[in-house]
Amino acid sequence: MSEILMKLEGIYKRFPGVIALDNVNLTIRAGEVLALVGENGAGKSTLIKIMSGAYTPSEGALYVAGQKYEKLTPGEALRFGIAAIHQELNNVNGLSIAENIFLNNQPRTKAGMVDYKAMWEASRKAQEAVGLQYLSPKTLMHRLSTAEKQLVEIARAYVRDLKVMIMDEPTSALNQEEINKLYTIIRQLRAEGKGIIYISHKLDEVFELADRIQVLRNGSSVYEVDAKDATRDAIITSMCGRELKDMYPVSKRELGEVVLEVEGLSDDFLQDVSFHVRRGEILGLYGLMGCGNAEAIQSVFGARRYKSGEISIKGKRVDIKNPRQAAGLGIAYVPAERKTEGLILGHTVRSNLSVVTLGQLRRGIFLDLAAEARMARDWINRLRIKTPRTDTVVSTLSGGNQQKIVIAKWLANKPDVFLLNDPTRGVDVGAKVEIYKEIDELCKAGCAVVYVASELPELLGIADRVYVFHEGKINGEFSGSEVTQKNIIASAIGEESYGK
Amino acid sequence: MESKSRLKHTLELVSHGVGTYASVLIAVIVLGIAFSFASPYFFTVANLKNIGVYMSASGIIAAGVTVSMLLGGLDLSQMSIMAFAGVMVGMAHQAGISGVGLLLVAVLCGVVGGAINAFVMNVLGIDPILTTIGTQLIFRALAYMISKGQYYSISDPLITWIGRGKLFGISTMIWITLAVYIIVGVMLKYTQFGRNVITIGGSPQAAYLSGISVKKTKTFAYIISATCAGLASLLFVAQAYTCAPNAGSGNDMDCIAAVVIGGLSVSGGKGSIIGTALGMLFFSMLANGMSLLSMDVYAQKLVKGALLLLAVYIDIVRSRKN
Repeated sequence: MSEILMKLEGIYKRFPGVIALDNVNLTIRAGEVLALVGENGAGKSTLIKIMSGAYTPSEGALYVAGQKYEKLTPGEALRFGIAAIHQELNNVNGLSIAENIFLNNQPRTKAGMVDYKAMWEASRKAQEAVGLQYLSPKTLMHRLSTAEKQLVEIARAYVRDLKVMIMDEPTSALNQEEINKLYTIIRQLRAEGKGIIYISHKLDEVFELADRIQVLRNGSSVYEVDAKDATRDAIITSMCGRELKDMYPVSKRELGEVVLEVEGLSDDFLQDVSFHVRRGEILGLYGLMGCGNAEAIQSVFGARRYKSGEISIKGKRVDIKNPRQAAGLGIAYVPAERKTEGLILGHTVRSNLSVVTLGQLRRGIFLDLAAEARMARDWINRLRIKTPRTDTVVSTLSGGNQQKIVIAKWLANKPDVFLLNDPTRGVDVGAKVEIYKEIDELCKAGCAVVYVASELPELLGIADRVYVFHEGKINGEFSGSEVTQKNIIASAIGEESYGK
Repeated sequence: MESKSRLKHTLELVSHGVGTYASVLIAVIVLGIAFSFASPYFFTVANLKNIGVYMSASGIIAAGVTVSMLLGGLDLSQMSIMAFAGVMVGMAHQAGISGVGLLLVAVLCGVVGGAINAFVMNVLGIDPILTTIGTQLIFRALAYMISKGQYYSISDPLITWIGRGKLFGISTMIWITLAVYIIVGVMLKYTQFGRNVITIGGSPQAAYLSGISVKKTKTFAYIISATCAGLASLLFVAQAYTCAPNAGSGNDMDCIAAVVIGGLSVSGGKGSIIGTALGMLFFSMLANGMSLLSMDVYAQKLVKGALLLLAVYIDIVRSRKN
C-alpha cells in the first residue's frame, strides 16, 4: 500500500449541546480518491474544517507528515500541502489568474518586489497542470466561468506543493463537459500521487472516481468500503438510520381544500417546481443543502424573484411581489436566519411580537401601546415564552424562546398558509417539541403548513406528505407509508428509481 | 403585592431611562459648571438665551436627522437644503410672497429635497452617505447659483415674528423648536410610521420579511429630515433678517455629532428625541462657551471633531456590551 498522507484518529468535535463528530477515523493515502458521503448534518463540513485547520477538534489526533498533532492551524495546513476547495470559491475577482494562483505567495525579486516575469512564467506552468493553458495568465478572474475559477483554485493549491486536496461538491455548478474535464484533472492528480478527498451526494460521480468510499451519519463514520466492492443500495442504506430521538406530538387531522397551489415555478435555479398543500396538512419539503426547497417557499412569500410560474391562494391566482403583499394574503414565513431575518435582536419582546400586526394595534393614527402590551402578554402566555418582562431585549432570550416569538408574531396575523424554513435550527429539544405542538394546533385550526427541513427525522415525524428537491427540481413525492428514510435520501441524492 | 411589583417596575423603568441619558446629563452639568467658572458671562440670562437661539435652527435640523439616523441612514444634505430653502424664501419675498406663503416655500423646498434624496437611494440604490454628500453639493451650488452669491435682506411680518416675537418672555424660535421636538417625538413613539423607522433601523431584512414597506418608510423619513431643514431655514433667516447662500456651510456635521452625543446608535434602531435634545444642549453650550472664551475658530472645529469621534467610539463600546 502507498504512503499515508494524513490520518485522523478518534476525532470528536463538540459544540454546545451537539456532538458534531463522534470518534471519526479517516486515512488518506498517496494516489487515491476517497469519497465522503453523508446526509445534511452528518458531519462532513465539520470534518473538512478540522482537516483544513479552521476548527480545533475537541479530542483526537491528526497525523501529518509522520507527526502527531492535536490540531492544525490554517497556516500549518497550507504548509503541509492540505488544500480545501469549498463550494463558495475563494477568488479575488479584480485580479489576474496569475495573481490569484500566487495570492500571498508571489515570487519576489532580490529587491523584495513582486517578480512579475517569474510569476507569469510559473503561472503558465501551473495553468498547464490544470488544463487552463489556453488562457493568458494576465486574464482577469471575473471573465472566467465558474469551472475555470475552480481550476484556478486547484492551481493555487498545486503551486504550494499540494499533498491532500479536499473538494466539497465540486461539480454542483458545472456542466457535463466541465465535469469531464475536472475528472481528468482529478485522475491526473491521483496519478501524480496526491490524495483527494471528494465530497459528493451524487453516487454516479462517487462510483466514477472513488477508490474508497466512507459514509458519515450523525457525526460517526458508519461504513467504509472499497469502491469495487460497493453497491448503491448498501451506501444508501448506510446513510439512513438516524434515530427518531425527539418527540413528535402530531395527531390525525382532517384535510380540507387546497389553499396554496404552485405551478411550474422556474428561473435560473428552480426548474418547473409544482406543489400544493391543503388546509390541515403539514407538507414537508426536503433536500440536501442548496437543492431549492428554501428558494421555493421564499418565492411564494415574495422574498425572492422568479421568472415564470403560477401561484394560487384559495383557488385565486396571485402575483406576489413582496412580503407585505404575501402577509396581506394570509401567508406567513419563518426565515432560516432567526437572528438577522426573523428578529430585531436589539429590540424588545413586545415590539418584535407586534411587528407584523402593528397596523391592527392603532387608534386613529396613533399606536395603542396598551393594546400592544396586552397582545404581547397574550402570546407570551399562549406559547409559554420564557421572558422576564414584555420589554426584555430578545437577544437575551434562549434560541427556543426567540423562535417562539418569530412564530407568534405571524400567528397573530391569523395565517392560512404558514411557510417554515428550518424553524427548529439551533433550538433545544424541549422548545422543539413545543414548536411541533404549536404547528399541529395550527393545522387543526385549518391552516396549511409548508415545512422546509434540513433534518430528515423531523419530517418523518411530522409531515403528512414530502416533496424531495434535487438540484432545483422536485425529484420525488412521498406520502403515507412511502415516507421512509431510504426513499427520501435516495431521492435527495438524485436517484430516480425511488421517486414517483 | 401587585401594586408593589408595579411600583418596582416603574422605578426600574425610570432608572433605566435616567441611566440611558445620565452620561449626557452629567456632561451637560459638568460643562455648565466649568464654563461658569471660566467665564463670568456664561451663566447670564442674556447668554442662556443666546444658547437657546443657537440651538433653535440647528436643533430642528437635529430633530430631522434623528429620524434618518434611527432608520440606520444618515442625512448630510440638511445644511445645504437649509441654505437653498433660505435663498428660495428670499426669492419668494422679492416676488411679493409674504407671511404664511414663505412658510410654505420653505417647507416645500424641504419636501422636494427629501424626496430627491429618497429617490436616489431607493431607485438608483446609492447608499445614504454618498447620496447626501452628492445632494449636499448640489443644493449648496443651487443656493449660490440662484442667489448669484449674494445676501438678500428680508423684512416680512412672519420672519419678524419668528426673530423678535416672544411668548411668556421666551423667543418664538424656542417655542417652534419645542413644537418640532414634541411632534417628532410623538411620531417616533406613538405612530406606526415611527415604529417602522426604528424597526428598519434594527434590521432592514427582518423588517422587510415582516411585511414592512422599507422603501416607503425610507422615503417619508428622508422627507421629514429635509423638511426640518426647510423649516430651520426660516429660523436661520430670522436671526439676521438675511437670506444667505452660505448658511450653515462648514457645519454640516454639527447636528450629527450632537445626535450621536445624545446616545443615538450610529447603526440605527436605537435612540430617542430626548437624547437628541440633550446632545444638542451639550453641543450648543460647548460652542457658545468656546466662543465666550475667545477660543480660536479652527481650534473649536478640532474640539468638535474629536468629540464626534469620541461619541462614536462610546457607541461602539456600548453596542459591543450588548
